[in-house]
Amino acid sequence: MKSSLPRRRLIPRWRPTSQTLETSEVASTLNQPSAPLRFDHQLFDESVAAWRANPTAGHLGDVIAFAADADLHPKIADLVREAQARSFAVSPVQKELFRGVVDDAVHTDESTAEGRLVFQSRVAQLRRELLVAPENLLALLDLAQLQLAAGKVDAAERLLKTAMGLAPNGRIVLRTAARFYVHLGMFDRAHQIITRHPGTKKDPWLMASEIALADAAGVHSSMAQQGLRLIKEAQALPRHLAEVAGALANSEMMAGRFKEARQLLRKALLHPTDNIIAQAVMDGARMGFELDEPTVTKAVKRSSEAQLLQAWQNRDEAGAERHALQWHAEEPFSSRPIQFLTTLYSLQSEYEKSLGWVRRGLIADPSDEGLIANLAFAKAAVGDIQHAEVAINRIKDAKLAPYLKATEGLIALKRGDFAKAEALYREAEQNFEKVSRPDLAALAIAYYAKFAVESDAPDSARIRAEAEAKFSKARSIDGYLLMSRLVPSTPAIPIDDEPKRRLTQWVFDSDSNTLTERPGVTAKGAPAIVLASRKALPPSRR
Amino acid sequence: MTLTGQTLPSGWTLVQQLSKSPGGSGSNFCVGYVAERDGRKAFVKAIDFVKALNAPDPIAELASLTSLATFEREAMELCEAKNLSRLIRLFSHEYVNLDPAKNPLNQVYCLIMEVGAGDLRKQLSHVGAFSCGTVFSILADVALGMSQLHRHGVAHQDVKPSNVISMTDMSVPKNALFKVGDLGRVVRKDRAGPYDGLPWPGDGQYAPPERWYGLVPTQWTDARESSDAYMLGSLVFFLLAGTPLQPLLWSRLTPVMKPGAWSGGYTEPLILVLRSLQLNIISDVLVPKVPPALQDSLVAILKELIDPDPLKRGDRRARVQAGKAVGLDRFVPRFRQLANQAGIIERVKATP
Repeated sequence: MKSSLPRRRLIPRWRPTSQTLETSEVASTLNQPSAPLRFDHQLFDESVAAWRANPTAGHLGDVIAFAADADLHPKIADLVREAQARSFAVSPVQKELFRGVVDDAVHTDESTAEGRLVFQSRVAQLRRELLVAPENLLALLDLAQLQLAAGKVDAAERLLKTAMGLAPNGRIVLRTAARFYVHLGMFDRAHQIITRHPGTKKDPWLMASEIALADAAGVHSSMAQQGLRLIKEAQALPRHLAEVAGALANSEMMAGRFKEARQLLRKALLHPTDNIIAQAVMDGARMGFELDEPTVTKAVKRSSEAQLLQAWQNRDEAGAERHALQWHAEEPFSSRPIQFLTTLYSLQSEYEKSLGWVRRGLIADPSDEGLIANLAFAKAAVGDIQHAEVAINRIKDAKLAPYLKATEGLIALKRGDFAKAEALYREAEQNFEKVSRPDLAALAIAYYAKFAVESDAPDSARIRAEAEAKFSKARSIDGYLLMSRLVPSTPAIPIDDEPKRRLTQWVFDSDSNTLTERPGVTAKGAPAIVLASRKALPPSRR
Repeated sequence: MTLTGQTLPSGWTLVQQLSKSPGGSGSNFCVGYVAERDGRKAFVKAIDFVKALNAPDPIAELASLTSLATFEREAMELCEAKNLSRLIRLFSHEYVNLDPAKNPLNQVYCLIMEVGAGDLRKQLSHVGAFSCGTVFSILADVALGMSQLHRHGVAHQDVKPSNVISMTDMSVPKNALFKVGDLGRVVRKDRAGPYDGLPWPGDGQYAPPERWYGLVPTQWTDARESSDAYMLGSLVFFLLAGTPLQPLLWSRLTPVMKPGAWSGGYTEPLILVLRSLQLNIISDVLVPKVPPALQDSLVAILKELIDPDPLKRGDRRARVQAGKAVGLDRFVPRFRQLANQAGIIERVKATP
C-alpha cells in the first residue's frame, strides 16, 4: 500500500472558479484603490416610502437596486423579509438575492449515487451556461475541470484552449492550463506555457508558477533570480509576493538550504494562500515552524488540504477523511486527495471503499501508478488475486517496487505460500531501508503482521511481535493506525512537541505598557512574548 | 409653502402635491405637482429659488439651481423642437408668484410637462404582470427614446424604472406606449452642462460597473451613450426578474473583487470576470423566463447592451463603423421583432 501523500510542490491549484475568485490570486498587481459603493440615502428613503405606499414588485425592485451599498444591504434584506411576511409581491429573484449566505461548497463523494448526481447536475448546468454563452470564461474553466475529472482529457483540453483564446493574458487561465498539463505529466509543456508568456516577467504569480514548474520539469528556473530580487526589493505588495516566496522556499528546502528556506517561507506566510499553507503544514516538521500565527491559522481554515494534513498529524481520522472529501470536491481531477482516501480506507480495512475511490481516481488519471499500486493492494486484500497481479504488471515506476513487493507478499499469503510471503515482505522491508525509509519498512512489516494473523500464518505471533518492535523504533501515523487495530495496547504516538521556531515574536515594554510585533524567524522554542530590555528595544531581526 | 390650488398664468391648476420630489441635486428645492386644465393633466416641477436663498451658500445654490433648471428646460425644448416621440413633452415653463406684495424674489419657476399613468415601478405590480411581448415592446420604446436623444447629441444618464413612464393605463397591452422622462441629468455633446464634471450624473445604484471602479471613459460615446446602453440592458432584468442587473452582479462578486476591496483598476482581469458573471446571471435568471424560440435573440441583444467593457458595449456592427457609435437605434427593431414573435407565441399558446 502506497503510504500517505507524496511530496508536494507549489504547482498552481485548480479549484472551481467560484473559489479562486475568493483568493488573492485574482487580485491585480496594480495599485488603484476603489471606493466602496455609497448611494444617496435620502433617495433610498424615498424609494422605501414609495414602496410602502404602493408595494408592487417594481417598487421593491427599485429599493433592491440600492443593495450594492453595504450600509443599506441589511435594511433591504429586512424589507424583502417584511414583504414576504406581509404577502406583498416579491419575485423569486428578489427573494434569492437576500436568502443569506449559502454554502456553495458541494461535496462530491462520487462513491455515492447522490454524489454522482451532484457531479452530473453541475456538468449539466455548466453545459447550459455555455450553450447560452460559449464565451463564458469561468464556465469554460469549470467544465474543463469536471471533464478532466471524468477522464475526458481531449474535451478538457479543447475547453482550455478556447479559454486561452478568449483570455490569452488571463493569469488564472494560464495557471489553470499549466496545472492541466502537470496533471497529464507534461511538465515541460506546463512550464513552457508560463515561461513563454510575456507577462511572466512582471507578474509574481506567474513567476511563482514558473519556479515550481521548472522544479517539476527538472529544468533551470528562468525566474528564480528575478523572483528573489522582487522579494528583496519588495517591488510588489506582500500578498502578491507570497507565492513566489513559497516557491523559492520550496526550492531552497529541496536543495538543503534550510536557513534561506525558512526566511522565504516566513515571508510567504505573511499573506499565505491555500497552496502555501498546505505546503507549510506539510513541510512544517522539516522547517520546524510553529504555525500558530493568527494569519496562518486563518489560512489553514481556508485550505482543505492543510486541514487534512493537520487532522492527520493530530490522528483525527474522521476529520482527515472529511477534509480529503472536501479537497476532492475542490479538485476532483486530482489524484492526491484520492490517494489519501484510498490509503486511509486501506488502513481502516475498508477495502471496498478504497477500491471505489481508486476506480474514481483512475477515471481522472488512468496512468497514475500510485493509484494502480493501491488498486493492486486493495484487490489482493479482498482476495481478487488475478486482478491484483494484472495491476502490478501495469506498473513501470521503479520507485514503487518496494510497495509492489509487499503486495506480492500479500498475494502469497492469500495463496497460503507463507515462505514466499516471508521472502517478499523481507525484500520490501530491505528496499525501504535502502532508501532510508525505516518508517515505511516498519509499515510493511505491520501490514505483513496484520495479514499473517488474518491468514492464520504459522508464525503470525512472531511477526506481530516483530511488527510491534519495529513500529516502536520507526513510528509513523500510518503505522500507528494499523498497529493500534492489530494490537490495541499500541502506545499512541505523541503529537509532535518538539520546540519550534516562531515567525514573529511580541515584545512587551512595561515602561510604555505597549506590545510591539518583532518580525523574524526566532530560535527554536522561543516564547511568543518577551520583555523589552530596559535600555532599548532589541533590533528587529531579518 | 404649497402651491396646491394655485392656477398658473397658462391656466394650469396645481391640484395635488406629490410626496416625492423629483430627483436631481437641486431636489431639495424642487416639488412635484399634478396640474389640470380643461380636463387634461400635467406634471409640474416647481423650483423654489426662495428656498435656495436660505442655503449656506445662497449664491452658489442659486447659480446651480438656475443652471439645472435652464439645462433641463433646454433639453426638453430640444425634444419638443425635434419631435422626439418617446420622450416626455414639455408643455410650457413659467413663473408663479405667491407673494401678495409680488416681491420678485418670491417667484417659483415651473416646468409643465406631459404626465403618464405611472412609471414602471407602479406598473410592474408583480413579476409576470407584463407578458414577454409587452416587455419587449416597452424596451423598444425606451431604446427608441434614448436613441432619439443620442441622435441629437444628448445622453440621458439616468435611465431607471421610475423614469420610464407609461402613457396608458395598460388595460389594452397592445396599445401600451412608454416614454422616457426626467431629463434632469442629461449631458449634451454640443454644450457644457451642470453634470459634465461629475463622475456619474445619474443615480449611483443604476450606474454601469465601470463607474463603480471609478473609470470614466474619455470618449463621449464610451462614456455617455455606452452607459445609457447598460442601463437599458439593466431594465431587461428589472422587467423580467423584478431586479435591475446591478445588485445581481454585485451580489455575485467575491469580496476581493467588490468596489472598495479591488485595487486593480478597471482592467482586463476584472472585465473578464464581470463578463462571465453577467453571462451566468443571464443564463440563470433571464433565459428561463422567455420562450425558447426567443432566447438566442435576447441573449445576443443583452451581450451587446451590458458588455462590461464600455468600449465594446453596443451594437456590434455600429461599433465597428466610423464614429464607433453605440447604435441604440439598431436595438429598436430587434426589440420590436422580439415583441412581435412573443406576441405570436402568446396568441398561439392562448388558442384552445
